[in-house]
Amino acid sequence: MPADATALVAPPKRTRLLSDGRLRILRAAIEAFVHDGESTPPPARLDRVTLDADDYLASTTGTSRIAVWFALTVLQLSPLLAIGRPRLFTGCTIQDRQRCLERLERSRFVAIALLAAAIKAVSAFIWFEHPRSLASTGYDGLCRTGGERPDAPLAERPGEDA
Amino acid sequence: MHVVHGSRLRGPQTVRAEVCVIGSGSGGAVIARELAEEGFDVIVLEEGPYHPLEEYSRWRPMETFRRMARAGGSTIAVGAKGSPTVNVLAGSCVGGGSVLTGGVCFRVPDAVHDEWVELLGTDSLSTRAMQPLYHRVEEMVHVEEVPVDMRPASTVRFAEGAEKLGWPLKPLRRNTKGCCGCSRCNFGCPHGAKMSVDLTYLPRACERGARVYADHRVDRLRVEGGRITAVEGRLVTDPDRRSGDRFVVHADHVIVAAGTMHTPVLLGRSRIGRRSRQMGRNLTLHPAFRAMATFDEPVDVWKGALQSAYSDAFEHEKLMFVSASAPMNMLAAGLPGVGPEWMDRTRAIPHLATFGFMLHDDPSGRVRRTLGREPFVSYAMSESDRTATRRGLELISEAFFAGGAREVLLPIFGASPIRSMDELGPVLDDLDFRRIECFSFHPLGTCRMGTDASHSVCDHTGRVWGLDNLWLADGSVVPTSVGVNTQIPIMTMATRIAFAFAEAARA
Repeated sequence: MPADATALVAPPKRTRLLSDGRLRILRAAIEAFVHDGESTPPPARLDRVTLDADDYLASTTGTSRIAVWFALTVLQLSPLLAIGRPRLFTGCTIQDRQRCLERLERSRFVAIALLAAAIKAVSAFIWFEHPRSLASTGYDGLCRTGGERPDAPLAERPGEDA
Repeated sequence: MHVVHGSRLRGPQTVRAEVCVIGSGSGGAVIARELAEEGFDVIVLEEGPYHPLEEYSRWRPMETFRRMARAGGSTIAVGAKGSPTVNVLAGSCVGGGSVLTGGVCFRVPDAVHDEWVELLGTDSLSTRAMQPLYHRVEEMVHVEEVPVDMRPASTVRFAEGAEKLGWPLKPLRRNTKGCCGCSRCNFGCPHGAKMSVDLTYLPRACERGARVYADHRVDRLRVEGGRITAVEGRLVTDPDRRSGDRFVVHADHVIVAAGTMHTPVLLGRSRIGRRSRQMGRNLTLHPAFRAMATFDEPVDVWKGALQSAYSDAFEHEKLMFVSASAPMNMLAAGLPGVGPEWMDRTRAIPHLATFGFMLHDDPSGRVRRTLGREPFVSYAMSESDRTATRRGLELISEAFFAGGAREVLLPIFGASPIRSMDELGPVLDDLDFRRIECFSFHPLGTCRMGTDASHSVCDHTGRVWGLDNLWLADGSVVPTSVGVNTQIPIMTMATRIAFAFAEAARA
């Protein structure tokens, strides 16, 4: 299991949907998606994003929640079939997790590909809302007219400096 | 605007009104204002919360989705018979979907009006008859043309490509005033420049005495002796959105504007309109597809109006091309790859252009009640719509390449980017529609108007067959797909229903 996978800090006022076990799978997936091979994603940001993703999932339809629950279960068991590693997803190295997600994304089974897309979507939605992640995309936060935005998308909030 | 928050009330509530409007979106808000202007005592019930502009203007996109979109924007129409699964966006807040639209304003095309006149046998649905209503709505929400200089470079590049191919883009009209071009209209305009109904119709309705009740979830309509005698529901708690204490509204007239997905569910739960066997059927979605393309130079997709230009050159092939953007996190979600490849692509987002198209689709969907509160929605795309989708993907790729794109990313899960039109052929030949990424912002038709109770749910004035005091006024009543963005058509139809209602109620 990755060292940081259990270090989930629960900020206040968040709705919990997933169990600790499924949060670990989600965190491991987010880490694999955003690891660029050079710099390691900040653990505190990963923790925060994982819990934020869980809070978002709690607001979705029952069907979506079931789909995500199922997707995370498939993901946890996927290394054996996807990349021939007899391990759980959370027990794989970053590189193996990335290979695994890549295979699932390109799977010829549509349902599997859609489940992988769902996890990726949730990961991207939340990860790239963090001001530093957002800034890494080259986004400068400016409007067409150059004015300031009331939502200040690149401004960090308290506790968000990871 | 004063709004009663149901989440702050304690104990059972009973309210009395002359007219009870269920839903505060483009249909409900319009009818509430028009009837309040006519002197009716109006109450508006909204299941979602009320967040004023000062609040939602400071939120990040996913925070808005969590708090103001129905089910966090996760509602889907499940693809049947090899069709794509469609993500259907709807609002669940005071102001409804109008807070979350791109603000594009179209009138219903003349050909569709002609079709309605023929189907319903009334000239009151003709272009000419509805002209004054369009004017009234467009003035209220300040419809204006998007200036060419508000187009992001991304749209400019696509427009250059389309023009080379002989189909120049036209400027869109939107309901904005003072747009700064920050490309996040569909997550609540942070500048308050989009004239959504929470900033226009609802405050005006309140000035005329209408009362708006947020966090009021309607469970059913009580029917006795061929009339609705009460509206029953539960207050919604915050922030977990669970059902709380009961409330009852006693009203002389009830107007349901709960949206195309939920109006048939509410009627079904109240055992209304089942005789026609049309309720929940005839759903059209205007399936929308977004393609992306990479350019060598930056095209900063976020710097400009979210939607600024369109082309109806292929209307005869059921296609409408409309510029569209999205926040960075949504764009990132659509990029292929994992880890280093994906992150490299996200760092190149300034070079990424987007454009979309939607289908003037056949009625291919259905909304069904479930044991829970959310409906089960299915959608089986017709063969002609599949042909149109293929054609749309071909045209959009062609325009991007003509505009100088290095590669085009098609909205197909797991597909690699294509680098020339030669690479498109095999992709389209092997296209599995279930893999297509597809959205809908314009569901229509699940309680359509008609000339008799066996083929429709309500008459052409919106009155439900067999019930004296129940009316419908949202996208569900629209008799056919319209092929253009539905905000203005729904508002105009609601205005028409309001006038018909006022006349009938007074009579």
